[in-house]
Amino acid sequence: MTAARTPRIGIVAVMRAFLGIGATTFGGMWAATRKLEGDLVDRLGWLTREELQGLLVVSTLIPAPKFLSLGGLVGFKIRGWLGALTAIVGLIAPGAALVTLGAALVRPELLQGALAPMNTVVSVAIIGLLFGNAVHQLRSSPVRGSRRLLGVGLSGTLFAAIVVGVPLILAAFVGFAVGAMLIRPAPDAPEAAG
Amino acid sequence: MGELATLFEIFAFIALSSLFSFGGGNGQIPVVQAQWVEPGLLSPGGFSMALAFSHLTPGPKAGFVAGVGYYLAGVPGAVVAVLGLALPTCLGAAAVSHAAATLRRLVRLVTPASGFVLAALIAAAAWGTAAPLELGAVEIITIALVAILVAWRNVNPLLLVLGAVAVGGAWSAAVHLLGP
Repeated sequence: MTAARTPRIGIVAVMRAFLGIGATTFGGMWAATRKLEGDLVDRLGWLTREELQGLLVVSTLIPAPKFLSLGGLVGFKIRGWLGALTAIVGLIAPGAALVTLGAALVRPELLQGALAPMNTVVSVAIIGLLFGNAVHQLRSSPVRGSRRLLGVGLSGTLFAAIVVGVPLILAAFVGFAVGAMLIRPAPDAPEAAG
Repeated sequence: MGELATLFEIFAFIALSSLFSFGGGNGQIPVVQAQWVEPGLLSPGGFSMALAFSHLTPGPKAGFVAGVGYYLAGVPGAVVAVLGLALPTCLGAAAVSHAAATLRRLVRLVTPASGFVLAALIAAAAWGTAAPLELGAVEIITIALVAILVAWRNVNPLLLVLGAVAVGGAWSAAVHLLGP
């Protein structure tokens, strides 16, 4: 992968393209693949289909939200550092602006007063969503057999440790370190598996 | 804490939270919960509302950090939260572009366990959000049902949040019109 391979593409064009993608996609990176292909491959011609597929996989290697990582990789490929930053900001700006607007309209005082019932119902839904996402993370892991049991045990131990007061950052780093020692990659796992 | 210190704290912790997002999970959630909700700097309601907005708006869900930043420090807080998300991602994209082979070996080592670690962090964030709310039996059963629907039936979070906003909005309106 090389940076700035196509320097003729302007930063404004990168910003416009990713603002458009950020403003019109719902459901995360995998749900947006057709839109990405339509814009970046078919309409703009910045990537080939194969390059986009490769970057989709490589984006899972970056410790950051996948969709933003993909934006960074595409931007970096097109215009180096500035392209990466532009693409990431363009991708997140529409949603972030709308979230900020929502937060400005729904002040915390309202959540304790007139909107208290709505606050309760939304909080219950979000807590359920978070627990559901946690279980989904466990269920969707490709790890099988005894390594999976070790993983579930590690997960339960970390959860209990955080609930009883172990600092989150300490628990997370210990969890990743212990996990890497206990749950080794399968010998036939692909290099870029995400 | 001064405003600049608050802004720096928002930037630093959102940036740090990217490290917990190996494999694509939303590592910002547990960090926000531990850093600001648990000490009482951000209400659980505000945290839930920011998350809810991110499900109702387009683009990456991580955009909820803008709402968290806004609740903590206004528009400058929202801006530095987004920058805290963008800059490490930019560094990561550049690093992976330059050193894909070396980083792939490290990521390959960490990836099998990442889902299990992330599950614990997200569950702990859910617990931390629920704990201050003094939930009754009905709410706890509802949370369990929602979790089951999300984990096993793959319910679209957008529909879930829209439903919650509709039900909660109707309830709020009814209380406003009819009295508590």
